[in-house]
Formats: sequence, structure tokens, C-alpha cells
Amino acid sequence: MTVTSVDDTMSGMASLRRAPRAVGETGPDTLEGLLGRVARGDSPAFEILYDRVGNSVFGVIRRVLRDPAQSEEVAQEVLLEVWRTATRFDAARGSATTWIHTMAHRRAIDRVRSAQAAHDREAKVALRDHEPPFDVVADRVETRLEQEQVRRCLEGLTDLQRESVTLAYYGGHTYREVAELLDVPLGTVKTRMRDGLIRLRDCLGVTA
Amino acid sequence: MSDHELHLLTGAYAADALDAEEREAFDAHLADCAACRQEVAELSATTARLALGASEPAPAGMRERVLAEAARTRQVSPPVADLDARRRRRAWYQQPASAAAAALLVVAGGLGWLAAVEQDRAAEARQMAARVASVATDPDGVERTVAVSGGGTGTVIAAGHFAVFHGSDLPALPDGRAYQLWRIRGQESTSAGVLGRGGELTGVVTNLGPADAVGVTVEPASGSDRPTSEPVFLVALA
Repeated sequence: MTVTSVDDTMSGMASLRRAPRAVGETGPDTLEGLLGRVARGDSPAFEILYDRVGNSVFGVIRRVLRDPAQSEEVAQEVLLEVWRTATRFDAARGSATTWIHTMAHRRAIDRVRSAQAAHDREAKVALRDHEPPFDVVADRVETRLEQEQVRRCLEGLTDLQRESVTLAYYGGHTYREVAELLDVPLGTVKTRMRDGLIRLRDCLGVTA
Repeated sequence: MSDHELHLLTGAYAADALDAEEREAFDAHLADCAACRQEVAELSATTARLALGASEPAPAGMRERVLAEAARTRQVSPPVADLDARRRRRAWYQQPASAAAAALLVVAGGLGWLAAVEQDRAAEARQMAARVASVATDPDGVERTVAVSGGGTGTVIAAGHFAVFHGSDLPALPDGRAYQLWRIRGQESTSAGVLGRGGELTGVVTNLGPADAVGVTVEPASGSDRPTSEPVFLVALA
């Protein structure tokens, strides 16, 4: 007898494994299904995919970088990277939306960090004001609902959890910088970032 | 940085809030820590929702520019599973039950002690201890350790018609809830008992068939006749 994980053997387990997801698992209309078609060079599928994620990719990058021109440049790079490497997307490691937005955020952060290295960081970057995070006009009902839910769940965090998460994720600061900005010990920020995200995960009903 | 400290960095990692050096150290740690990988996957799915929450209309013209650029960009070829990796993996599955089996022997010893103090459940506990010990020492036993969603890890050691589940560091459930162990055959789930509220938990699955799976769900403390929630742990035997 050998033992394998469910990731390897799914047969018979379908009913138990069915987990609710923000984005469906397979099928042509899901992001995963679209990515599969994109991987085979399907341009119309890429257009549909762009319409699904273009605004959120641009939005998260702009939240971090602020500058619209620079944000568009990075967003274009990311979306092109989605096209180029759709063949490497592995659904076993996470959903398509996670894959795409993780890439987008990381690119924005890379830009922040490399700019820091180049300019030895202008003071205004560290000390820039934080705009209220939810000031944008949503273009679709689903987007607005999603934003509502994220805002509601962020409000459910303690102040320190929320600030740790948003200064890092939306502000683009490392946790060491966040500790500096909030004037709290490193270990505290590390922990608040983790338990804040865990609480958000539960509030948003995220299943990885 | 100790493993425990590294483990606390899952949140900062998912938020891209580590500097390059720490990120590298954490990536190395991830390779050896299944529970951390699971937690990072969940927290990354959470930060992706923060990205959706930041959605705003992209500049006019960006769509056309992206599509035009894609039209003249070659896509990379997909990775092809390499035979060596598959061989290595098979070898890994065939490794004899080892570390977890040793831990289970300690558990079996503990159950024997429990049998002595809890007279009314003594027979049951003694029988369970004997099964745990027989599975843990079976040279043909196979073991598999998988992260439990929510936290902690679960190990299943299967030998013959028995499997032993051992959960470590399982988060404590609220009052009135408990982890319940199941034998799953096709669409049929049969209870293998309520395990407890968290921490270190052990249970035995009997009448195990070669195509069965072993799963754990969170249920009311009195146990359920069939699973009423998504499993937090699931391993298929095939």
C-alpha cells in the first residue's frame, strides 16, 4: 500500500474536496480556464482575462507606487508576464487570481525597493501621507462588493493589525520599516502582520 | 533566526514585507516546512483579495497597448515533469515509516499509561495503544505528513487494515467543537471517532481498504454521523 496526498489522487474525493472559492476552479469562464487557453496562445481569451484583472492589477500597483505613469508601466509588464508565462501557472499551488495579483504586488514592491537603492530613498517616500485607502470609484458591481467586503474585514482588525498590514501591503514598506513608522518592536509588527492576515483570511472566507 | 521566528514571518512574506535577504532565508525554510507553505498559500490568497480591494480603472489605452505587446511576444514553453524527479518522489513514498512512527510509539506508551489511570476506558485505550504500536513498528507501514488547514500538521501511518492519525499543534477549537476522524471510501464517510479539541491528538482508523482516504473535519463535540464541514486534513491511500 502506498499513501499519496489528495493533490495527487482526487478520485472519489470530489464531494469532500469541493471548497467554495471566490473564483471557480475549472471551466472556460473561470480565470483558471482562461489562463489555460491563454497558455495555448488564445488571444481572445487573453482579452477576456485582461478585462477581468486589468483594473485590479493596475489598482494594486498604483496603491503602492502612487505615480500613475509608473504604475501603468509596471501593470503592463505584469500583464505581459501573465501572457508570457501562463504556461507555468500551476493550479495546485494556488488560484489564478492569487498568482496574478501576487506577481503584480511583487513587481510594484521591486520597483519601490530598487528606486530606494538608486536614490538612497527620498525622505518623501518614507514619510508620504497615506491617502484614505478606499477613495476610488469602482467600475463594476462585483468590484464594489469586493471592496466593501475588504473594507469591512479590515475594520474588524485591531488598529495595530490593520496598520501593520496596510502599511506593508498598500504602503510597500518592509516590516522593519513598519516597526519604525509605528514605533513598536519588530516582533510585535511581525506577529500583528501575521495574525492580522489570519483574521482577514477568516473574515473573507479565503480557502487557499 | 530560529525556525519558530521564521515561522512567524509568514504574514510579512505574504505581504512582500521582507527585505531580499530575509526573503531568501524564508524561501529556504519554506522548502522544508509544509505547514508554512500551507499558511503562506492561504495568506497570499488573502493579500490577493487586498489587491482586488484596490481595483481602480486602468488608464485609457493601456488595454490596447498590452494586447498589442502580447501579440508580438513569444510565450515560454511549459515545464515538463522530469523523470528523475518522479523517480525520486516514488522513492520518497517508499521510505519506511520513521520519525513519525517513533513519535507514535511514544504516544502508544502514553496511551498505555492512560489505560492504567482511566479504569473504565482501559480496555479501549489498551487496544488502541496496541494498534498504534503495531502500525508504528510495521516495516511496510507508510507515512504521510500534511499541513492541517488552520494550523498544525497531521501524519497518517497506514499498515495493513489500520491507519493511525496523529495531529500536532492543532489549534484549539471553541467550546462545543471537536476534530473528528473519518475513513472515506468513495462517497461514504465512516466516523473513526472524535479526537478532541486541539493540541496533540491521535486516532485509529480500522477496516482500512487500499483505496480509502483518511480525513479530519471540525464537528460538534458530540461527533457527527457524517462530515458536516470541509476537511481540514485529507490523505488518500492508493
